[in-house]
Amino acid sequence: MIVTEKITKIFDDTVAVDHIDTVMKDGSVFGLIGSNGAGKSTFLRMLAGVLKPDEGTVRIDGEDVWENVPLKQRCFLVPDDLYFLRGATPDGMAAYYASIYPKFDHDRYGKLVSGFGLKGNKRIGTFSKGMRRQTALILAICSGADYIFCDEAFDGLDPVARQTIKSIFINDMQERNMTPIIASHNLRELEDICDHVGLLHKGGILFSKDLDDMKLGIHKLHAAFNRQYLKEDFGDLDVIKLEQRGSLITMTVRGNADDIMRSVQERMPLFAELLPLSLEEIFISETEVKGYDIKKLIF
Amino acid sequence: MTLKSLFSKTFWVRLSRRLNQFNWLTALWSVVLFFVFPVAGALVFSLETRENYWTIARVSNALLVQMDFACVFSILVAILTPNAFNYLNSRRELDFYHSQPVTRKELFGRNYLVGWLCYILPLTAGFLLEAGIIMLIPGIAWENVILLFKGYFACLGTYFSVNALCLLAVVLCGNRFISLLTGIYLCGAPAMLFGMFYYFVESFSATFRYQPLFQEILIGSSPLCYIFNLSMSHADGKNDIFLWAVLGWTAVSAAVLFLARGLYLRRKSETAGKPLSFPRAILFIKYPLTVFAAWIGGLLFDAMTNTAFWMLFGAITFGILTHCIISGLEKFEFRNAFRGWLKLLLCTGVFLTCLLFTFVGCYLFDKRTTKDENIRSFDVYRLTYNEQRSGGTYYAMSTDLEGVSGEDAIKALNIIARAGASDCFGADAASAGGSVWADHSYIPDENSAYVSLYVRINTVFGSYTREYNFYCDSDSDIAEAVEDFAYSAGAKKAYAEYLLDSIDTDVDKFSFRANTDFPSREKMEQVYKALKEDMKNATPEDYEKKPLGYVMVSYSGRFHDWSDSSELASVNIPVYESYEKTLALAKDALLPYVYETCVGTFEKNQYYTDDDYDKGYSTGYEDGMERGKQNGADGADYYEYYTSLEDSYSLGYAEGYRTGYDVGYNIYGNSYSEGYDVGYAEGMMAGKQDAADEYDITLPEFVYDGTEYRSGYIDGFQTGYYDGYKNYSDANSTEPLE
Repeated sequence: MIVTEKITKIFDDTVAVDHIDTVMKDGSVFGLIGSNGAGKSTFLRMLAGVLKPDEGTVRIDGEDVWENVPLKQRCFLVPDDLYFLRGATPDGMAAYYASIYPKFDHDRYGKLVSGFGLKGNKRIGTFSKGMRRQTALILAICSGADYIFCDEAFDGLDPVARQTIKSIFINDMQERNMTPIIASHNLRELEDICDHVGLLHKGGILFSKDLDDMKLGIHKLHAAFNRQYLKEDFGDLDVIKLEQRGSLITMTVRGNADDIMRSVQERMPLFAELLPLSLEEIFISETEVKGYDIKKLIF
Repeated sequence: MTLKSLFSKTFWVRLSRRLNQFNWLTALWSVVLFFVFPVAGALVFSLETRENYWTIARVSNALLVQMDFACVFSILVAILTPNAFNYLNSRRELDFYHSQPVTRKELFGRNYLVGWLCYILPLTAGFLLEAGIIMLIPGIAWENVILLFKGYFACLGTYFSVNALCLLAVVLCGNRFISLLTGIYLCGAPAMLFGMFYYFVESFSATFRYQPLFQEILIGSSPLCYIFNLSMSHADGKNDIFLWAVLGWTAVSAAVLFLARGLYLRRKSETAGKPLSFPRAILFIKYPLTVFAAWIGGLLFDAMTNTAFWMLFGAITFGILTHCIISGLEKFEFRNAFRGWLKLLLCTGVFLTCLLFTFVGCYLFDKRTTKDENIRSFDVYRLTYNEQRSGGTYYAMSTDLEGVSGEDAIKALNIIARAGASDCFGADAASAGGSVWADHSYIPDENSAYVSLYVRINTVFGSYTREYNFYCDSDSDIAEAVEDFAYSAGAKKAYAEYLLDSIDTDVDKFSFRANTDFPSREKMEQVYKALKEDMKNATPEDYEKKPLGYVMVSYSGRFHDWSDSSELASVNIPVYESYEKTLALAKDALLPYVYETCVGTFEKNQYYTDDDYDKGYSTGYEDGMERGKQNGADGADYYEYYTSLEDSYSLGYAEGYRTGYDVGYNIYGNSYSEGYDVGYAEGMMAGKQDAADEYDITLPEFVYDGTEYRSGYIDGFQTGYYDGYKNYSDANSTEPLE
């Protein structure tokens, strides 16, 4: 289990990560979402022991990760900007990682490389972006690390490869309790795989919840009334956002689905429908509340 | 990184992977060394073998040149190998390395080791190959092998020093370009600082200028500096300086390396790509460099204009420009160039105050004291060869200084002093020609015509002492050094007194030389005393006239210290009309050495240097051929037609040259250039080495004996030179003065 306690990172006069407290349970996928510059990569780099927090601690299974070799042998960082040794081949990289990850699984590496159609003896420098990403993820999976930190994990992967990697992740989670921590802007992809989501914004964390709980706690309501309603008219509901076009009202509301429907029904709607929000819609709603609404700049 | 980790297999796997990334550097370095060592060694060996002889000195000289190259290239490799740490400047590389389950200590050790392996493996192979090759040379001595391995360790020391400084620069900076600049700064800053200080002292305080400490510090203040001094050290036989510098810098570099490691462990990963990883480091870069630049600017403009206004202008302009450039680079932001002015103004203010205090003479007043009107008198002492060899200093000899007074004498010596000051950085002895130079630490070769002169300048502010060194023939050197004023009467008097003072009458072999009616020693001493007395009594006006002739005084002892009575040094003492006692004695003794001359002033000698080659060559060759050798029966007496005494030096020289030439010419064929090149060298070597040979180099009995032949070369060359010079006077048949 990874526990961060008030970790903070400041670059010059910019607070990149601001007192973040999170708990990431073993055997689940933790999705890290956030606006641009929210501090996702910085957060991941601190988890992987690349950056040292200016304040707070990062503990993995109760131990500080900084310069902790045995602990770091259980972690693997797949950054957004991949780097391989100059002139290296996948086989060469595998040999290199095998020298620092004691649990590196050569057999599995061979199978995965051939399964993905990669050539183990070909220079990585000649690979396409997606192939490089595949190579990095294969190496991460085969390293035997318990915690895999992926920054934009599926960037550049084709849909088949994406689903395959997801399947491998799920398989490893079940078999050896692996814990992927994935930071991405592509929320639809995270939605498929994540059990838990943390939303970062401007260095701070807006929330960190199980995806299911989160979806149960926030809804989109489509309703039609024979009169005009303002946001203030729904004082008994936790309305995040309200849009009205004619008699049709679209609201994003926090709370229990039954409670919301009951409240709406009391206002005698012509039509009312409660829909679950996608992760992307939740992200937009939550960040808009915090003033992150770029649309206003355009329209 | 611990010793335990060094023995782990996984460490070596990681190391080899990292090393593979620097195969290009290893390959490049190997190719360079391949040419510097085995190829160059074999080449020299092959070429020199044609001459059928080898000597310890020849092998050593060839090795020293090779080691010079190896050391210079070692610097380049030492600058390149910190590339192993350049991942610190790239975020993606840094993510890769720092996310691995490897401690930063191991990362540092691994990357540092990679640099060493890239460097040392080809170097060791190159040296071993070279050792194998020189072992094949006949006459190889252990001295050569020891020298080779000294060079090996010198290269290692050089690499270690430069590498440590460049590594520190890489750790301090987050950008490759800035780290390169910082590396250059760290390597060169001490030398630049001492160099400027040296120049500063020279400009403002000549009292301390000749302190050997300055030069030694200057040489040893940077690994780059002592490398570039290497060749000069070889020429002077001062390899010890180089070795000590290497050892000193090795010790310093160990501390620098330790510092670099400490900073590396504390370095924040997020500084990758920024100009500086440790912002406070700017204090040790910006302000020293700014002050340094202001210093350069001030001195530069002062040297051009010698006015306080322009000195201040130069100091302020250079200081501001440097501050702006460094500030702009500090954060890659031009606007930053105009920040931090308060600190800059404070630093500049303190610095300029010091400079101004110096300039106006509040202290270090030397620049003013050398003005003629401030000088009361000079005290002169000439250091002998033996004293110089035994490390004598003018402090110990201050009581022996003899005063020289008189307005013109002061002016003359002051100009000599200034002539010396203009050549402060010590020109190479071989190229010094007739100038004065100030290589204080130079220990003269036993056979060199070396004069070391201490002059205590008594000023209205106090006294200070300078040392002036003259190479080659002393009188002509001084003449050349003071050429501009040498026509003045005062200068002549001062010069003549100096020359006479330079003769030690106590030595056993003091003599006037003649081939007929040789005067007794008693007579000679009478002439000498008369000369001194006449000289003291002479007025400056007497020197306005042309000398009637010269007394050539040959002597031994003092700085030559030769055991062979035939090897004597000579000076020419001008005799003027007012030298009544001298002239009377000379006339009475019918001395052949006082004779008429058409030369009334000092003339430049025709040195056989690059500059004077054409002139010297033409004179020697044409005279020799037309007047000497054309008339075969004359032998080497072509100079009988010569009437200019000053040119006798040239002629003497030309004789040795011509003799060698002719012999070589005869032996080696009708090709002039070949005959000249070979004949000259061979003639001088073989001919002069063994007097019994009668200069006959067709008797190469020592040709396969390296030691004998080498000895022949050195002795023969120099002996030939001086002999030629003196032989001229022996055979001079000009009429004695009437």
